[in-house]
Amino acid sequence: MRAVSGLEGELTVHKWLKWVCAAVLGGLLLLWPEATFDGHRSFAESRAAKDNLHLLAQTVCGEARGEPYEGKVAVAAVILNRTLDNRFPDSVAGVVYQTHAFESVSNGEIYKNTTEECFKAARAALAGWDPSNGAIYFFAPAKTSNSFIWSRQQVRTIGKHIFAK
Amino acid sequence: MRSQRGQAWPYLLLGVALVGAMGFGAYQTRLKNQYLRDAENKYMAAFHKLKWTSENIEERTAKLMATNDPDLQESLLADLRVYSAQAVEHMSTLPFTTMNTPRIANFLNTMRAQSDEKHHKLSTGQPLNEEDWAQLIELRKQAVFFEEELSNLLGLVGNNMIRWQPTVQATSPAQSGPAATPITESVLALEQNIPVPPGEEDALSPAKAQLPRPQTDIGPRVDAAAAAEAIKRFIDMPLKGEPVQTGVYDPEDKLHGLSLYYFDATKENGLPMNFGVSVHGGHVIYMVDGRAVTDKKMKPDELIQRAIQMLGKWGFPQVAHVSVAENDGTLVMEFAPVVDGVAIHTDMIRVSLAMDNGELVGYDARSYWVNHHDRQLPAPQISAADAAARTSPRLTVTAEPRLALVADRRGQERLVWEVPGRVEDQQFRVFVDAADGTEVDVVRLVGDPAPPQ
Repeated sequence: MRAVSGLEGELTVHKWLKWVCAAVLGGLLLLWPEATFDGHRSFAESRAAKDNLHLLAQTVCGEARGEPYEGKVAVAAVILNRTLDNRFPDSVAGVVYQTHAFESVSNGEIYKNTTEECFKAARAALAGWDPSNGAIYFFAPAKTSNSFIWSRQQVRTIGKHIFAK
Repeated sequence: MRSQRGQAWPYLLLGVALVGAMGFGAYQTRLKNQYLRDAENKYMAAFHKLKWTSENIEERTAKLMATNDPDLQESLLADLRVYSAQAVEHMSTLPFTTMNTPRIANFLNTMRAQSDEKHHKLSTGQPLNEEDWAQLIELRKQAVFFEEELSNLLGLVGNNMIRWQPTVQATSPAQSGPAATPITESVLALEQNIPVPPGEEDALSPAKAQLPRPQTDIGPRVDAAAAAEAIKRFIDMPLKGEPVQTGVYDPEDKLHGLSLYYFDATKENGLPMNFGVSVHGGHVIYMVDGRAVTDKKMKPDELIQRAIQMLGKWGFPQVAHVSVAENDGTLVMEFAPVVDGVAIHTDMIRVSLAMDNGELVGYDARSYWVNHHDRQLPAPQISAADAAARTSPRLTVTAEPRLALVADRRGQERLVWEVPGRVEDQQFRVFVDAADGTEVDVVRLVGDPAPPQ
């Protein structure tokens, strides 16, 4: 009986070891593509150099994916308004990649799927539409308590974003 | 034997997995450290470039004080314009975006604006006056302090005593409260102590926004119900329900600023539209409709005529068609109201029609309602033929020039002859000053990314 129970114990340990091995291998397989993915930088640079529209649309999607169309146009307009303001860089790329300026750049959200509506909104802003009323800032009030951004003069709210000057 | 092999393979597999995981971990750590070094290098490069531009700004302002030659002054001011713009670019790379530094921003902004303005004065033959020099002397004081403080900061970061990463984390928008690092403390000290020109002591508080304010009375104040009625008259199509007010921007009632009601409306087919209606006068200022247009059944000429008819109905009986561009299945057209035979480009109205059925999908008359006023237009001093003759010999004039009122790059309205032309396969509009024949601006019709006006 003891021998049998010892054999059963060994078999149980082996089963357990097999599961551990499988879990470790599975975990490694799951981690591998994410951990070794280093496409963000070169992807962003090539796109930004190629076309302002594309970068603008990417940023619109990153910042306002769930927002109404008007909110998307307003976000694109804010970026363009900044390029015309001496306090900000002169180019779309300079504005978009300003350190800490856009959360979606910091967390990589702008590199996710860019929808047709984002392109449409970016084109509308490039063609001159500005529902933000000349704003140069926008923020999601639920997400930030930064005193600087709250000190700006608020000009309108669209969806979950407050637009400010 | 089979049983022993069966018992051994999980240990082997686990061993291999452990060795693999350790190797993978080491690789990841090396990669992470490389990224951190790259990020640190990016900030250091931007800081050194900022320091270098500040040295150039300081040097150019010093030379400006010492020279009496207008040509050299002009050259130095051109340099200052470039270096101050570069300084803004380098500042934007550093993690100072969320720090409240209006004095530094004002200094660089003013340096750029003033050097540009004074450069323009000198290039048009006007000498700098006492007031100009007083402004330059104040800017020089700020430039000296700015450069000195950056030198002090360089002493910290340049000797590898401080790294940028803690400052990046401290200034992150996700940071709930102020978190000080030696770098942020140095920048805030620079912000607090930079010499402020007399009269600009309040610069520490957020700058008051420049509100677009109509130059003339655009009508009496109306309520939201009247604004909703204005939308229904404007859109001239059946709506699903009433327009719904979503907000109001009304900060300057006494000054008759361009205060707006914001409305959403829904077409009968369920698609949404957004409107801005002026609180004063109840004029529809803009309309946005993001519906997808896939077919292009209608021709541009047909849509231009349709837009002109719509503008007539909205109270703009005389307009000149200025530009047209296909944009995602819509035709975006710009029209300038015509007064006494002059196309007023500063009062431009933009109309966008769907190319599948000619439906209105965009309208923007903000420029008109902000800039419009009664103007005393001067008579042209040169003829259309003279204006065309003054354009580049490489430009082939393609149509008869027409009179227009445009804003030059300094925002001044100028009566010009608008000369349409072509260089190779590129279409241009050249604006020639109707008083002195100088070229005020050149606009390329195809290929330019259209900036917001």
